[in-house]
Amino acid sequence: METTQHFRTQAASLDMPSLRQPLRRVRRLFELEVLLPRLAVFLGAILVAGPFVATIVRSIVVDSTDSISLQNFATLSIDPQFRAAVIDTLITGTGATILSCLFALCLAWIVARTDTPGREWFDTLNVVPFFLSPYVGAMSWIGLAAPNEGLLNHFISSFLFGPDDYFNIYSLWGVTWVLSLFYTPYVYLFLIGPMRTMDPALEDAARVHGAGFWSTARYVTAPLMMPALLSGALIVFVTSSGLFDVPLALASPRGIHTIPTQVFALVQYPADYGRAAAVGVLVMTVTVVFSMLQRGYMKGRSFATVSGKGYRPRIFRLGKWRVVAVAFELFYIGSGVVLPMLVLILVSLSQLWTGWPDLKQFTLSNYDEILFHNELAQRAIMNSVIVAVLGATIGVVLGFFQSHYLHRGKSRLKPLLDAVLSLPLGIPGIILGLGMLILLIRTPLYATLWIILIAYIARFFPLVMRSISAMLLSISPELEESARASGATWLQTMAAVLLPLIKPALVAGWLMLFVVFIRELGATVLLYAQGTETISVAMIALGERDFALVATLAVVQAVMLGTAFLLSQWTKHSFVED
Amino acid sequence: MVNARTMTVDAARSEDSVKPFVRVSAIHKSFGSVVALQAVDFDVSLGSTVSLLGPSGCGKTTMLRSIAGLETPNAGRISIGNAVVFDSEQMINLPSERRQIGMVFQSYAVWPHMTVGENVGFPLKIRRTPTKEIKARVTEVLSLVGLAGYADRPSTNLSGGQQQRVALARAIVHEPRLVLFDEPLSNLDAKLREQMRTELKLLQNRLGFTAIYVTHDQEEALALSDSIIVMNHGRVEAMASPRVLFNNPPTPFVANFVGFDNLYDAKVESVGDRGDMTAFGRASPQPITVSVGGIILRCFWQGDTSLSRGMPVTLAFRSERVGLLHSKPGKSDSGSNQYEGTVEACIYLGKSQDCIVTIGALRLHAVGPGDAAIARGDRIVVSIDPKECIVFRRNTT
Repeated sequence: METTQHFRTQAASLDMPSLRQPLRRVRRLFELEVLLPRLAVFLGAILVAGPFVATIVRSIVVDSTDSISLQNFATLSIDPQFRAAVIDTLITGTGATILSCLFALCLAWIVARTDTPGREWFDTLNVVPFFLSPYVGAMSWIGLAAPNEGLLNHFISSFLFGPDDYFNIYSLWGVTWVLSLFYTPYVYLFLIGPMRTMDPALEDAARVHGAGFWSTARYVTAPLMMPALLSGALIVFVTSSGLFDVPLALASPRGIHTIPTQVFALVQYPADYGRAAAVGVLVMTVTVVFSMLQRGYMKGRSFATVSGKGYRPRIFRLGKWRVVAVAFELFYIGSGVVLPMLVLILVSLSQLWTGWPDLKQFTLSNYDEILFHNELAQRAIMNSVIVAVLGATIGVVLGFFQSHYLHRGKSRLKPLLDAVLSLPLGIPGIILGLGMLILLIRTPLYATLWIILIAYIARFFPLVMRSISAMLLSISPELEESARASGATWLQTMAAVLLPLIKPALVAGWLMLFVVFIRELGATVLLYAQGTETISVAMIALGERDFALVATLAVVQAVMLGTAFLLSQWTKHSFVED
Repeated sequence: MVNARTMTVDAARSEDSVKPFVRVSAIHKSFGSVVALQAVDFDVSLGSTVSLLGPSGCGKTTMLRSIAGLETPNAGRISIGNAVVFDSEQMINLPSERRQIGMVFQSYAVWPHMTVGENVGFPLKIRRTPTKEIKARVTEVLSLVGLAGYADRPSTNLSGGQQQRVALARAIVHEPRLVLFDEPLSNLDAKLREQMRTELKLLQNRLGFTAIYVTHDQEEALALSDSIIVMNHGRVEAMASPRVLFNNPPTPFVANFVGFDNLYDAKVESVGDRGDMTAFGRASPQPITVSVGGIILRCFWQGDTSLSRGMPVTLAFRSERVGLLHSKPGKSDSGSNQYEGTVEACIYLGKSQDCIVTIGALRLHAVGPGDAAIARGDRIVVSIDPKECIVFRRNTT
C-alpha cells in the first residue's frame, strides 16, 4: 500500500511541472545558501557606492543655487594652497615608497636568503610596525626628534656636540621618514613569500650557464621579484599619500599641508564641502586608476616561480657582513618599534617632559589620570573597544559571505563585483569619512557611534574579503560537495566543513580589523562628535594640552594593539600545529 | 722524423681517449648529521653518457650538483677536462659559472620573465657574444630541439615538453663539453618521456657532448647511457654497462633495481662440480642447489670463489622469466625447476597478467601471458630456469 501511495504522489508532482517550477524558483531565492551571500554582496556594494556617489554629487552641486556646475573643480585648479598640498603629497608619497621598498628589499633578503643569526626572530619583528598606529608613531617621533625637545637631539647635543635641533621631525622629511617606517612591512609582506618560495633552480640555472652573483641578481632574481615589489610600491604610494595621521602630527604644526590635511582644513569652520568633495573626487579617481593599474599589471606577470619540488633557496653565507645585516635589522626595528615605544613609556612616566628622562620624577599619575579620572580618555577607550569588537565581527561575517559569493557562487558578474568591492582598499580614510559625512549628515545616524562604525566597515571590509578569498581559493569545493553528497544541508556543511577549514583566515581577519579599527583616525576625524570620540581622536584633543597624557593614552592603545599582535602570532602557530 | 711525429700524435690521441674527461674522487658530503655522499669515485670518458641511477635520497642529485658547483662537498676532488674544479686539500672550489658546463634541471628552470629566445640565448649573452651571433645560434639550436620559430614567444604557457626543450637548448647553446641532466624527464607523461628519450639520445650522438644523467628510472638509464653508476645510501653500489647491469647485476640491491623482483634469503644445499674452463678464460658457472621456503632449487653460481653447503645466499630471479603451466610437461624439459603451486591473486594487464603464486611457504611473483586462463585458486605448475637465477653470497654478520 505504502509503495503505491509513494508512486502516486511522485506521479502527481511529475504531472504539474508548469505550476511548481516558478514557485520553486521563488522559494530558492529565500534559501539561506543563496540569500546570505547575495545580501552580503549587496550591502558591500552599497557601502562602496554610497560615499562615492554622495561625494561626486556634492562636488558638482553649487551650494546657493542647487544648480550643477564644475565650479568647484575650476577653483581648485587655480588654488595655490591645493597645488602646494599636491606637491607635498607627491614628495612624501614618493619618498615613503622609495624608502620603504629599499628597507623591505633589504629586510626580506636578510631574512629569507642569508644566514644572519636570529633571522626567525627578525621575521616576526619586521612586521610589528604594521600593527602599530601611525599617529602614535608620529607622536613618538616627536618625542625622539623634535627640535630642542627630542630625545635623540638631546642625546647628540649632550654627549657629542652641536645644537639640540639636529633632527627636525616637523618637516616633509619627518613625514616621509615616519611613513617609510610604517609602510615597510607592507612591501616586506609582499616580498617575503616570493623570496622564500622561488624555485632555486631558476637562479642555479643562471649560475651554471655562466652568470656570476651580480649578473644572476640583475638578470634573474631582480626581474622575478619585480611584480611583488611593484605591487607593494603601488599600494604604499596610494595609501601613504592618503594617510591623514602623520602629516597632521608632523606637517600641520608648521603650516605644511598634504591632500588629506587640506581636506580636513576645508571642512573646518567655515566649511567648504563643495570644494572638499571636489578634492575627494580627484583622489578617488586617482586611487581607482592606480588599483586598476596594479590589477592589470599583476594579471600578466604573476609568475609561477614555485616548482613545489626541490631545495630551499640558496642561503648566502654573509661571513663578516653578518654584522652589517644584524645592524640594519636593529636599525629598522629600533626606529620602527623599540625607540618609539621607549620614548612613549618614558614620557608617560614623567611629570613634565623636557626631552630627557628624570628618574627622580617618575610617576604613575598620568596612568591614574587617563584610566580613572579623565572622562574623555575613558569614554574614548570604551568607544574604540565597542566599535572595534562590533565592527570586526560584522566585517568578518560580511567578508565571509562576500568571498563565498565570489568563489563558490555561479554569477557571471563575479569579476566585476570583485573589482567593485575591492575599491575602498586604497581610498584614504579621510576621503571615505567625508563621503559618509555628506551621505549621512541629514540622517539620525549623524553624531552617533553608528556612523563611525559604518565608515570603518565601508573602508576596511575588502581587507577581510580578500584574505578569506585567498583561503577559499586554496580549499577545493569538492570538500563541501562531498559533505552535501553525504546528505548534509548547506548550513550543516558550513558548520562542519567550511568554517573549521577557514578558521585561521576568520581569526586573522578579525584581529586585523580589530587592529585597524582601534587605531583609525582619518575616517573618524570628520565623523566624531561630543561623546563619540575614539582613542585616536582623544589623543589629538589631549595633545593640545599635555604631551604626557597623549603618550600615556598611546601606551594604552599600543598595549591593545600589541595584544592583538601576540594573539595573531599565537593563533597562526597553533593553527599550523593543528 | 716524420714517423716520430705521427707516433707522438697517435700516442697523444690514444692517451686522450683513455684519460677520463670527468674525474670524481673520494667525494664526501654531509648535511648536518645526514651523510649524503661517502667516498664516491668514478670517471666519465670524453663523449660518453653516464647515468647516476638510484632511489630517491641515494645522493645522485647531490653528486650531480657537486659537479655543477651548486653544492660544495666536504672532501674530495673533481676535475673536468684539464681543470680541477674542486679539491678540498688544495682549497680549490671553482664557482658554477666558471665550470663551463650546461645543465638541464628537473623543474626545467625556464625563466618566466624572458622569451624563449632570451632564455636560450642567456649563456651566450653572459659570455658577451655579439647580438647577431646570439640570434643566429639561438635559431639554430631551437630548430635542433624542434622549436623552430618559437624564439619570440613568451616562455610562460609552454607545455612541459616544450619547456623541457627550451631547457635543453639553453644547456647546449654555448657548446659546453659537459652537459648535466637532473631527472629531466621525470615531470613528463609516459608517452612524451619515451619520445624525448629518443630525441635526447640522437642529439647527444650528433653533438658529441659528454653527459652525466641523473635518474631513478632504470629504463631511462638503460636507454641513454654508455655506462650506469648505481648509487645507494650515498655510495657507488655498482658501475657497469647497461647490458651487464641488466643481465648480471653484481649485488642484490642492483638486481632488485633492474627488475629482479623475486628476491629471497636462501641456503646452499649442495655444490656440484665446476666444468672445464670456458673459451672466455673464465671459470664456468658452478651448478648448485639452494633451499628456500622449503623447496630445493637448482641454479648456477657465477662467482670465482667456491661455495660450500649451508652457506647463506640471496637468490634472485625475474617474475617475467617464471613459466606458468597448467599441467606438468614430459620429462624432456627436466632441466628446469618445476613446482606445483596455488594462484593467490592475478591482476590482468592486457598484454600480460601479474600473478602471485604460493608454493608451500614460498610466495613468488610471476608474469603470465595475457590470454592464458589463470584464476585465483587454480593449481598451477611453476617452472624456473636455473640459468635465469642469480645467486649472491650473503654475509650473516
